[in-house]
Amino acid sequence: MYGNWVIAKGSSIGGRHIEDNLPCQDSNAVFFNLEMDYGLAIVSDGAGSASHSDLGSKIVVEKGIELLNEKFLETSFQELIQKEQLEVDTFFIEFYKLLYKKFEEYSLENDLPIKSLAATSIIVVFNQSGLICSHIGDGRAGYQDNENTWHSVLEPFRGEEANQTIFITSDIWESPNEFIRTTKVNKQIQSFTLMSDGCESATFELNRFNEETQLYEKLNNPYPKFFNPNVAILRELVLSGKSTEEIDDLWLKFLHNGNSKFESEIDDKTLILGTLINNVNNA
Amino acid sequence: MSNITPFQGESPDNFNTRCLCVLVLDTSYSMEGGPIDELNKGLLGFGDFLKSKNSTRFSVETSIISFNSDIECVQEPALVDEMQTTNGFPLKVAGTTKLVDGVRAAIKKVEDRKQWYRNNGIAYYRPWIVLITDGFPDKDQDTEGLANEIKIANKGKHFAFLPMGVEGADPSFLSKIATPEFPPLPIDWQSFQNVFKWLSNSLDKVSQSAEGEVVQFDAVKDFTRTGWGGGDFTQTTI
Repeated sequence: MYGNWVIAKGSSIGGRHIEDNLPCQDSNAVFFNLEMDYGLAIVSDGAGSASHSDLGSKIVVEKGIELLNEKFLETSFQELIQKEQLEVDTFFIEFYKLLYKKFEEYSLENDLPIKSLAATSIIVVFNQSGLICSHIGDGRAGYQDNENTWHSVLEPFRGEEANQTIFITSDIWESPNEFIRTTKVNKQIQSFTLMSDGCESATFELNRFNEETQLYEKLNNPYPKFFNPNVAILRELVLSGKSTEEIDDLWLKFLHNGNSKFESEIDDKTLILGTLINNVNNA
Repeated sequence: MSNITPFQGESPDNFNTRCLCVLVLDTSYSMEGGPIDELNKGLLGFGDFLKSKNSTRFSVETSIISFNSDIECVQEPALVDEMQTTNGFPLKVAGTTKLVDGVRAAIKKVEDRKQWYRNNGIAYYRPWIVLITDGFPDKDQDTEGLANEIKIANKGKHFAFLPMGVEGADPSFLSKIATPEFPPLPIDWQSFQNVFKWLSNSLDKVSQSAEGEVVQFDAVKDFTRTGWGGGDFTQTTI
C-alpha cells in the first residue's frame, strides 16, 4: 500500500535479452510521501544500443526519486499542479538537468562513457486530485478519471523509423523544451499507468483500420478491456490482505507470460498500474 | 511458488511494425535457363519462409521489381498473405540490363511506401533494397549517378542496400554502388533458395530488433561464391 493507493509494479526481461544472456535494461520505482500526500512512479528503459543502459535506467529511477523528493520540499506537488504549464515545464527541466549531472558524476566515477548509460524516463507524480507526467523518450502513460474513462497522458518521442527515440544522455540540452515533455492533469483521478514500450502493444490501442475512410489511423489509447479488469483485481488483492511484495510478485508473473502478447514480446517489459482503494466509482 | 497469477485483461489488435523489402531482380536474357528457374523457385520458398514465423508473416512487406530492357513492378508492397498471383510470375527472361533504372524504381517504391506508412500511422523499420544481378548495366545507364544517390540515401539512412552478384556480374560496379554496411555479396545461382532463407531470417531479426541494436546476421557461406562471412546491420539511432 502507498497511502490509499494500491500499486503493482514490475520489470520483466524480454526474450531477446534472455537469449543473448543480457540483463533486463528496464527499471522502475514507486514512492509515496504520506505526510505531503504525493506519490512518484518512474519507469526507465535502457537503450538497446548502449552497453551499460541497465545501469542508466537504475540511475533514472533511484536518483530520480531522490531528486524529486528534494524538489518537492521547495515546491509542493499541490502548489505545482496549480501553476501555469510553463512553470511546470521549467520545474521538470531543472529536475532533469540535475538528473543529468548524476549521470555525469556516475560516468566519471566509473570511467564509463555517458552515452553507454542511455535510458529513457517516464515520471508520474500523483495524488487523488491529479497527476503530472514528464518524460524523455518513448513508452506510454495514462490515467482513469472519476467517470471511469481512460486517457493517455504522454505522446512518445519517435524518430522516423520504429524504435528510434531519445534518451536523457542524448544531445537535448540546447533546446530541452523540445524533448522534455510534461503534461498535468488537474482533476480527480482514480487510476494511472506508465510503461516501457515493451508493454505498449499489449495495453494500448496504437492503430486501427477505419473501414469508412479505408485508412489506417494512429492511436494512443489506454485499452479499457486490459486495464479495468486489472484495476478490479488489484483492489480485490489488497482487500484480501495481500502485501505489496506479493502483489508485485503476481504482477511480474503476469508480465512474463500472462497473455500471448506479453509472452511473445522480445523487448523488456515494465508496467506500473496504480489505483485508489477507497474509490467506488469503478465498475 | 505458484505460477498462477490472477491478473488478466484483453489486449488490443494492433498492427505490427512494417519491414519493407524491395527485391530488384535481373531478368535480362543472360539469366536464361538454370538461373531464372532457380530464382523463381527461390521466390516461392521466400514466401514459405516468411509465412513460417509470425514475426515475418505480419511484419515483412515484399515488393518485387524486375528489370531487363523494361522495368516492371511485378509485386506491389504487401504482407506475404496479401501477395497476389499476377501474370508477372514466374519471372521470364528478355532483353538487356537496365539495372540503374530498376534500382531507381526500387528507391521510388521505398519512398512512396514510407510516405504511405506515415499517412496511415504505421510504424516501420528502415526498408531494404536487395539487388540480384548477373550482368553489366547497359552502357546508357547512369551508374555514377546511381552510386551517388545511394551514397546520399545511405547517409540519410533512407534504406539499407544489399547488392548481390550472381556469376557474370560486374564486381567493380557493384562495389561502386555498395555501402560500407553491405559490401557486394557474390552468390551462387544454384543456391538461390538458401539466399532467400538467409534473407527471410535476416528480416526476421530486423523486425524484432530494438532501438540501436546491432543485428548479427547468420553466416552466408552456404550460398556465396567467395568470402563474405555475415555482417552487422545497425538500426538507426538518433
